[in-house]
Amino acid sequence: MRILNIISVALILMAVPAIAQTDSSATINNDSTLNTKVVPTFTTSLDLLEEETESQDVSGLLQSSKDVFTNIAGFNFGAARYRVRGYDSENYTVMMNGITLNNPEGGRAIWAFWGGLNDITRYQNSKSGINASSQTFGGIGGFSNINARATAVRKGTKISYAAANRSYKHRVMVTHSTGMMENGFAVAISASGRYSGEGYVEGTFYRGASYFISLEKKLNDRHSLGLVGFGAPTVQGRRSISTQETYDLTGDNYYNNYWGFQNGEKRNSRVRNNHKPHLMLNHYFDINKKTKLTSSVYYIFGRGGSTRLNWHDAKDPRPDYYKNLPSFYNDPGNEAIFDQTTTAWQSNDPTVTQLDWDQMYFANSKNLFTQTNVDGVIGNDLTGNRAKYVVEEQRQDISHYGFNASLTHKLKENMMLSGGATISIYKSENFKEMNDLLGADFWVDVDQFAERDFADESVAQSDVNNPNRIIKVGDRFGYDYDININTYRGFGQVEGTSKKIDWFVGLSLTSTNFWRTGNMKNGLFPDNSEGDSETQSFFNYGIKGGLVYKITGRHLLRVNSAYITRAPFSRTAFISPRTRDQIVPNLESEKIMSGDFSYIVRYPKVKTRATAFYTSIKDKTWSRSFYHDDLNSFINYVMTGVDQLFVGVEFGAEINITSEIIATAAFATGEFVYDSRPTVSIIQDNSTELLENNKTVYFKNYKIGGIPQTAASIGLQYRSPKYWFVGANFNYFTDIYLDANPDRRTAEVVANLVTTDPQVGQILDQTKLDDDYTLNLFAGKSWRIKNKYYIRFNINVNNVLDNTDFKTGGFEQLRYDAADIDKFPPKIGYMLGRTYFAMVSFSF
Amino acid sequence: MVRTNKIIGLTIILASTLFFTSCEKEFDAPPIKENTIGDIITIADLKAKRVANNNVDLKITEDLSLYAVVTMDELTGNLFKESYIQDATGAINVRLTSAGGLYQGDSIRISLKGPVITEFSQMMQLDSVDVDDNIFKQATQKDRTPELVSSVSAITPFSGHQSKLIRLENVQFVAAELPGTYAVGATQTTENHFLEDAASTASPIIVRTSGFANFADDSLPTLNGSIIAIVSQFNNDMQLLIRNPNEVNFVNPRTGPCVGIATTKDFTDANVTSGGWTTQNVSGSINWATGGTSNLYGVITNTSSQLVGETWYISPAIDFSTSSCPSFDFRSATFAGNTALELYVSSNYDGVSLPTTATWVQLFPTLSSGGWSWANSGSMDLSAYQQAGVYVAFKYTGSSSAWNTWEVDDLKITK
Repeated sequence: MRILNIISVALILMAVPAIAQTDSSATINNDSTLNTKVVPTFTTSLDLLEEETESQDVSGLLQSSKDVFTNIAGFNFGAARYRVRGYDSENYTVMMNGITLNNPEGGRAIWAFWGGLNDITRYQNSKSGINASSQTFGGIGGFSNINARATAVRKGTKISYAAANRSYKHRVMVTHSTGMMENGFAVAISASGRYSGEGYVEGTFYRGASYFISLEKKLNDRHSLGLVGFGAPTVQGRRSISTQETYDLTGDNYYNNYWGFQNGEKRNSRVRNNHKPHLMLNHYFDINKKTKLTSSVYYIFGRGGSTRLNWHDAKDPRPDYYKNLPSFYNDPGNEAIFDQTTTAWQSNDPTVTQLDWDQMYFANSKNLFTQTNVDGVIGNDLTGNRAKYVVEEQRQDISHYGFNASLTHKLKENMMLSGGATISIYKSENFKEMNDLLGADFWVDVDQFAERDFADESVAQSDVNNPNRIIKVGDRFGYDYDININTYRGFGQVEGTSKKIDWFVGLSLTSTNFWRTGNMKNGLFPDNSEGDSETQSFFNYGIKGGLVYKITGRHLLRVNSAYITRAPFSRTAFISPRTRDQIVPNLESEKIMSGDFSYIVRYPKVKTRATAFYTSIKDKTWSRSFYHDDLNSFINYVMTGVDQLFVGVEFGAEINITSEIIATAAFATGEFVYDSRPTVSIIQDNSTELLENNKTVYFKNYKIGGIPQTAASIGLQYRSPKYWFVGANFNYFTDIYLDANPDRRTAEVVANLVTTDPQVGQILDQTKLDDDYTLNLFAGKSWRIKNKYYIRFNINVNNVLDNTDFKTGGFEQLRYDAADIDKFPPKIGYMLGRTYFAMVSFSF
Repeated sequence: MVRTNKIIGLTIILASTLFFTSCEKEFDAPPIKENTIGDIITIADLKAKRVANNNVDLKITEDLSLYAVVTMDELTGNLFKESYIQDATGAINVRLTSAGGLYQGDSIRISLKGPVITEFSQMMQLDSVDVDDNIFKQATQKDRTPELVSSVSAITPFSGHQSKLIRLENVQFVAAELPGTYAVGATQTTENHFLEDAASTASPIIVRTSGFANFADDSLPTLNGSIIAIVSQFNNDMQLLIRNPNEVNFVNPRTGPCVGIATTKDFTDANVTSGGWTTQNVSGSINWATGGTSNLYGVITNTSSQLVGETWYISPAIDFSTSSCPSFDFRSATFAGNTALELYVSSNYDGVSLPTTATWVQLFPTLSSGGWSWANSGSMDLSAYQQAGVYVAFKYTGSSSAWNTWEVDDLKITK
């Protein structure tokens, strides 16, 4: 045993450590939502950025894991955008009471929808990687099932207050659970509020409330019914990420260009406003001693919205628009204007570095305009101040209901059969709603780019059925379409256990049908924008299996593998769903192959796991829209046959050096790369003209960007028998790359270059960001009073050394100029400096 | 236990090996042309291609590369949508499809596929070059040193200087060009001005400047010195193109016949003191006035009353420090020869006090001998006063013994 300790300690020195969560309520309560919300996300398009910032950070899912590696990673790597095994979160299944909560459009679970309900979401069962589960087939990344049964919530009352300096500053939370009462009812309720007038990043703010109620009624010994309802209405002012130039000029690595002054007050143009209540009714049925059936119906609905500026016939108001930056003038002959612009930026004049709301109001106040033939009625004229600038809200309101059943049946004492069926009927309404006319009288629902490009006025109409429509606050405009996704899924699994070997095999079958319903007849595409599109149907399957060989009870070898096909997500299947129903040509299911091999050691005082993994995801589809300088057009860029490869190792260890001192270590490294030469079609956005076809992207071995591919942590903590603890983790991150722009890796871009030209490297090389580190501290203490009251205090401080130069990721802009590759430099995000989260709770 | 430890060790090693052997793959890259010896040609080779094509314009269709340095750009506006490049074998004029993006000192590779090698009025040009598509910068600020050419006359249509960056020393604009400006900015008119070797009388060379150049309205320098320029050609005329007026470094006195910029006071404005001239009454109150009807002049008289007094008429301060041949001349007339008018020069007068506070040296111009006939003074050589703050002055002395009237005109200060 001592030898083993020594070896393990040696391993730690090579690698890294963890926090044992023997008692999750007494240890640090790292607020997962908080991490999720604060952490900047990086993707290669704004649309994705939009989505991903609200999607779940893996760390949230992993922090309750019992696994030594994932636990450490969950607590310490999240802020650096680490993703376990490099996987996107669509490969993790998040469930509540067995109901899958991943969004069918993009595959991701959006943690924010149950943000602020930490007292409930801590009751989850999480596993990473390919696993056996009686409730879902799961993804290759793992799964997490939140147990929201009223009886699962610890009986008693808990009141807590937390102070932080991240996205919110104050949080209060009250949770009460009755436990199973004599009348057969159990009730659990939780409510919380989170608030900040201004978060860590200037111009951001946060106002969130959360509610949760769970009722359970034990009908008899075999039947229980449960009803769960929760929601988290949240309004949040967001932060931008920008180019290094803007950070250098303003001297602020958290420079946020989303806000500006209006009448002397800060106003954020990008406000997220979500409220998606979830309702579920569960029936727990113990058919007999061997067989259990859980069935549920659920309904999820509500609004998702994010505001942004729009403008018509006016100059781009964004302060970091490339023509508003000094670098645009950095040419001989332009020294004067370069100096002038530089000085203006460096002086941090808010009318230059931030949005100028007053100027926008001013422009709107005097733009007298007569719109003729309003609503297409000849002679119906309206005169007033037409808006040059407006704030619009892009909405995605959903209505999602379904049925879920899962059955477990004990075949033998040591063999279990489980299975399940799911019906999911999903619909999202996607549209824009006018949020603020900024003092103007109206907005006209036309597409200004089409207005410019086509002489025929009807072409520019967002909705030909309502030409020249006048838009006031609250009106839908621009685009309006529904995405419908019907999914039918079944799975079965057999798992067995014996003295030496545990094993499982599973099979899943899924049928996915999706289509678009257009609610407007777009002037550009009058024939394929309105009404139902063709239904896209996919039939997919997955098989998985795993084996644990117990060398002894303390030394295990584990191997898992899976082969899964996955229907393409509707989000990437439609080339430009806002205007038309065109589908990516040759749309195919993704093929996922994954395997891992682990060696696990479990002693009371030493826990380690070492894993090697290999995952290949083939035939992904990637589509984005952006302005292509070489083609002089706004285009849809559709890349098919995108293969990704994830190969690497993970190691985690937790060692009780004494009964009070625990050392932890975690180390993970991998090669997360593109593994194919995808094929590209470029389609003109406003005409569907195929500008380029079958173009090859030379993308093989380019790194998947925006995440550290290598991360390590070592930690030490002291747990006093007197109910207090303190600990620290040192974390190191490396192999962080910028996400590469595929179009820069084509033969066309380098056509006239020769190998010796310096431009070759400038265009093709992928940028690697600097290695960096963080130090996190945590501490806590609990008091028990009169054997029934508990007071707990805990605090954790991330990035104690206040390292504000840690570039956690970024992406190359899709817009580029091959002749001047620095014209559109990459956008880069920094990790927040020193942040803290301190909480005191009182429970009884 | 020992066995267990071995297993741990082995696993780690196995996992690491598995991983690290798969590591460090080469990034994918689209096919990029690799230049071999034959793919790179020189400017001399390029020109030879047209010769080989029977001197007919030739669009280059092969994937060839040419490496050169930009010797002149468009920044001062003397060129528009063109540029000059040079390598070890020669130089050529490059005509661009759009303006901008190419700067002096840029070391470039030109991808020659597409551009045309052509000739315009004896000038070899590489035409239809697109900066974005054809030019790949290798480095910046690799300025070439201009080639020193011994004399203006060494530049001929056959001397091989065409399009090259050259430097000439001891040259000056011919006297007839002075005073003048490089071109006319107001009307955007291009102008030619002749430049000569100070040392020889051989035929001068044209300095051609665009009316769009940002130095079009700068005065031509009057002195002598060195110039850096690009040699252009129009039929049999060799022309110099100035990149920047700060490369025209004329600081030495001119040689040969003196030409200077003259400032002339001719009294046509009927004003004695315009142009900075002043009067000082040392004694008495005899004053200068203007006279004449069609051709005005300055006049002073002590009248028939034979007033007594001393009156000075003093020039503005003159800066002769860069003058090659400072001089002063005028013409004068009087009724009968007399010495009431005298001419002086000073280098320590302060411009405001009485002239008696300064040291004056008398000059002896030719003065009118009488009969109101105008006499040219002859050029008063002031080369002893090549400095700033020089004054010339007329001193008129009225005496009670004579009625003397003097008329002066065309008071010309030549720098």
